[in-house]
Amino acid sequence: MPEIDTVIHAPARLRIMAALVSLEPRAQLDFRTLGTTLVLTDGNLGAHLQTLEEAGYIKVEKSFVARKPRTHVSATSKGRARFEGHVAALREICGV
Amino acid sequence: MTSEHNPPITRQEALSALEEIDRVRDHVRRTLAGGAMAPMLVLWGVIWLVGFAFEQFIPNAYRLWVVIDLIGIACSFYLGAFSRNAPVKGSGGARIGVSWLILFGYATLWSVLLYQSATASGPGWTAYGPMLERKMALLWVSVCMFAYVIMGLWLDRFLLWLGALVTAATLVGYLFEQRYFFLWVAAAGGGSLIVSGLFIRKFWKTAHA
Repeated sequence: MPEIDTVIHAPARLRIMAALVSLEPRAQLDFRTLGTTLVLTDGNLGAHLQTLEEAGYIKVEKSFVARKPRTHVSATSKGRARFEGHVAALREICGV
Repeated sequence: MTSEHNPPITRQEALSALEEIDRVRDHVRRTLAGGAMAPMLVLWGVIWLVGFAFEQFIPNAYRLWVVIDLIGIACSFYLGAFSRNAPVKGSGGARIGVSWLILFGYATLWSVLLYQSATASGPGWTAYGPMLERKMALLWVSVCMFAYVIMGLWLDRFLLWLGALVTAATLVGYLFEQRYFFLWVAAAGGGSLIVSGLFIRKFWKTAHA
């Protein structure tokens, strides 16, 4: 039976997961682009990403591109499964 | 469905959450596609503008097309593969590039077949030449724009309309504009691609989720 995931259900984290799950399974989204697209400040986004990372729903990778630090974020398979379960639970509540 | 320690979610809240998910997904897909697509549209718009404008005044311009198309493919490859500031890593960009190459190969195949059937007609080729060039232009434009129509079905109706309208405009030029057909295609095709690329660059990336 699908369950509501309280970690994902917080509005900002719901949008973060929706954004990451919309990408292909191996794709990683740039931190800055994620924040700009979802209209979240760096601090706000960072805090939510930490929560999701601690839950094992996302992976955060830091690297250097042309000597500049870049952070990329992707949804883990666990995160995708939990997100899909959350969506299924929402649909069940809506009777869809 | 929810633990007894968490307040139940109402139907309205669930509905709002689902709508938000759909909105974010569409927005992200559109924003990322727009970022990748905009420079490509401008690049190929310039190539079409230059290529078709030259073809208006230079007969048998296929050698020019081979050169500028190869330049376009190389630039497209560079934009797609080596863009340092690409917001997404590990996405399906390579598949899109391969899809375009396959389409390019398909149109090239038909160009060769049309050319061979025309030259097989012998001495009549000289008179048939200009008509063949116009047919080739229509073939290439319609094949490329068909790809945008298909992309538009999946991504955004703007692309669907771009593909359909450029195809229609080229067909109108083919049927009714004999003398300046290639200039017509340069403006309608090349110009539309450039304007579309600039439009997508400005409006698809700045809209917020």
